[in-house]
Amino acid sequence: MQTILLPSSCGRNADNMRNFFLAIIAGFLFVISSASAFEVQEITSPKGIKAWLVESHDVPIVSMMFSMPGGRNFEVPGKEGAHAIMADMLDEGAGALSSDQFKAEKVRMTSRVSFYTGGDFTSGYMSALSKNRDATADLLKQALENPHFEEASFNRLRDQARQDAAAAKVDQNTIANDAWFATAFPGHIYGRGGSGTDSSLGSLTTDDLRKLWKVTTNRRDLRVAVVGDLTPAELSVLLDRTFGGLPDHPSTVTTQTVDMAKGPIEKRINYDGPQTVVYFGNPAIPGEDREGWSSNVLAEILGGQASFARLTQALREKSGLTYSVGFSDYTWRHAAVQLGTFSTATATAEQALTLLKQQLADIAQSGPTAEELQKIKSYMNGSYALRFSDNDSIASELLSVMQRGDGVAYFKERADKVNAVTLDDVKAAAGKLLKPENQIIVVVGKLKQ
Amino acid sequence: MLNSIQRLALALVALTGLLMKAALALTLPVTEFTLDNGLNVIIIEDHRAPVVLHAVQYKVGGADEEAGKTGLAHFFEHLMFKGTTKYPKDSFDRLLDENGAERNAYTSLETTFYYERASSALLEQLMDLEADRMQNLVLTPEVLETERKVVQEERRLRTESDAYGAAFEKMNAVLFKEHPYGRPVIGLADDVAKLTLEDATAFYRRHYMPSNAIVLVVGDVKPADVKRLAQKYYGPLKNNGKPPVVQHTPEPLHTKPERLDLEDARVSDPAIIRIYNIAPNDTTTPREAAAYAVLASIAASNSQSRLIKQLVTQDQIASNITASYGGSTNEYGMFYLSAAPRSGVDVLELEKRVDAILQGIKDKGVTSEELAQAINTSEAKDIYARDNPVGLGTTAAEVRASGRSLNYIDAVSAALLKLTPADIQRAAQKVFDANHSVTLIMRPKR
Repeated sequence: MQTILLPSSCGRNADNMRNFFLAIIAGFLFVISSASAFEVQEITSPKGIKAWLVESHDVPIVSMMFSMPGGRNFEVPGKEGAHAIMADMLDEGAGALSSDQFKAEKVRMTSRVSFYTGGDFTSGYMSALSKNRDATADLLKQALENPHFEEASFNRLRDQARQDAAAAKVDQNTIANDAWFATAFPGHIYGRGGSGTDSSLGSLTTDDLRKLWKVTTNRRDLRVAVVGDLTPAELSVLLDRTFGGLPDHPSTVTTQTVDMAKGPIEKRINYDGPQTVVYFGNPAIPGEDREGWSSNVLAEILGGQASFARLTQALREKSGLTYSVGFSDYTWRHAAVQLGTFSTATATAEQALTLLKQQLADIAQSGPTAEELQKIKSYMNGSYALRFSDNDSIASELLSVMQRGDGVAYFKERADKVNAVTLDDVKAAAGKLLKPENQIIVVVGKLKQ
Repeated sequence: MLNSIQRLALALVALTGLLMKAALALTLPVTEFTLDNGLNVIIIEDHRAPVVLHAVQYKVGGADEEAGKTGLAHFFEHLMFKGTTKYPKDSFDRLLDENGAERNAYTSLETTFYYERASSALLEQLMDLEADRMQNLVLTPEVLETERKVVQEERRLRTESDAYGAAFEKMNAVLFKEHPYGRPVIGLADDVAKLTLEDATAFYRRHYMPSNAIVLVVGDVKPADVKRLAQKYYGPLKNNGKPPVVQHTPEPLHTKPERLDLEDARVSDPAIIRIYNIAPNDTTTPREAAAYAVLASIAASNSQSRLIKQLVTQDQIASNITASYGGSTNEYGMFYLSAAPRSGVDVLELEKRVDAILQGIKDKGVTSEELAQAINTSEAKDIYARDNPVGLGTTAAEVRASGRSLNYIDAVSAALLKLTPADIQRAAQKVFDANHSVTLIMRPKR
């Protein structure tokens, strides 16, 4: 499966109800799916910090993932790339520890503490042996509350970001990805891309990062997922110890829906390589209601991981035109899209594009078959349990559900929601989403002279 | 987003299989038995979720191909998904899809690994499918031709479209001029274009049989149940004679360092990649293997490692450095280094600085603090690894495929705890021998 690069997967805002005064230790217990025995517990600390916990005492380790609004899709014009460097700088010296001392502590305890940015969120990760859990959380606390933003680290990380930006300009997939978003969302941050250019990165200062850090590190919209060897009572204490010192100010996050550019648009970019890379996409339907799930089911039937996915059958199994083709639903704060990609030899690019368009037109006109719908439901429900294989994977799935704004009931209700989608729902979604005027296709490869 | 040097560094780490990972203790319940037909079965229990990984590893890979037939093992791996009389492709796929099962396969120099992950309730059906396709595959010329195109696209994607993928192929070819490790697993383009149905069926008959395979089951299972099912589905399978022992031409001793200077428009910054051919692996003791793994850790695996601390953090002349030991190959162990200079730093200057630090380890060894930290990290890895029993299982299968017993894993782990600084210095003197290395200097083409 090839990777869609930008903007990264994230969700809408959660309507986080906070409860400052009650120390609610355990909330609801849910079983993730019929095939999985994990229970997700909702924890609220005395200071009102909420987290989801999956207890697992088999191995003496703890994983924690958390996120706060802020990321590539929040960049202001001219300062693109700021969030990523800000996140990278958090563990470059904090509190009483220099950058080197901070890193040495992580190595000594064999703990991991890191920060990263996605599209709509800035996130953090920690994993530790149980015996080092509290000391590792203290490092995390220092990184969040008292980062140094030293010039030497800043210059090194900014240089690295500039080198990455230069690499992106010559990478065929990134060129195709960026061109697709620039075409679909002209002028918008989704179209400009939030990873930064040589000039935007060059304009950044440590003051910019400090300001951004102050706005981003806010516990009002904090989402925390914890998996591993600790009890609800221990987590409750750990939450306040780690995040209790963060400011709690009203969220400034706003959401404004942005429409994709009208199609059909087909953009061609010359690139000297043996293959042609194709990015193709259209709007999706966001949300967890039947319409939203219809959109998701449609994408799975067309280009998901199941072997009967139509594009896999047409472009790989029957014709051998590509090694891999994928098509998925992505929902971000301001927009939702369905986006897919494949690569093929330059000589077969036109043949593959014709086949792709036929497939899109066929399903837009007739929708999927009843058999396809039944099979994809079965596939989607069966495969979901496989996401819960180890502590990090479980924490990651929990966090992404929280980022979408769903509650713990999601795990119980997911299969019912998938099963509730009807053939008419998917036909309606296909007709609405895949019509030619919604299509934007970017083709990057050797152009005919 | 990863840039291409970071992707390459990850790919190098992915290559470092067996012995690097073998510095892990087998800390979960492991059961092993062999059926009368020679099929080896390894079971690792993990009852945290009702899920199972079921895999078959065949002891054949790219290194077992004849010259002119490169890519056959990998091409054949693709063909294994094309169905049998009992389970034609559609019904094989349907069974897995309707259960949401994940399946895939990969081919390495010495093994080919097929796996499915699914609800543990599906184990019996998975065994039936894998046992069936071990001997009853149905291939047609049409299927072969379509799949050839897919494989050719895969080669274009991974090798021809990727500056470092193409460079890596060239590096291996000069590091192993005679031995088949110098040939690409995915196959040379000209060879892949000429592979025939006869090649595929002869390869299948020769290598796919129970005594040349290892079945790995990891997850929520009871060993007694697995044994009963393995007997039922794999037990009746017959061998086509003895599994072939393919004799490989040994690599003659090299007497000078190999260098490749490449320019590519698809990279934006220069980089150094180096591979050392350490030694024939069959003579590598658990203590040496542990020392090589620790050497990689002390050289460049975290912020406190020598190369990273000095060149990335303190002197700020490199943006990225990695080191890893790859012992997953049976016949020669390899040690990988990669380094990317900061903007404006001469790549050859960085290479000199890297070499000076490696020379320092050869001349003066490492400190007891460095060794203690590496051992501490390794012990913690054992604990973290228990959260990933599939990783432990694949390591166990690789160890068995190499002809060693599972005890070897614990032997490396135990040896690691007893290492001395002198062991690491000896390892450095053995590994960092320029005459047995290839160095790539990649530069952007302007």
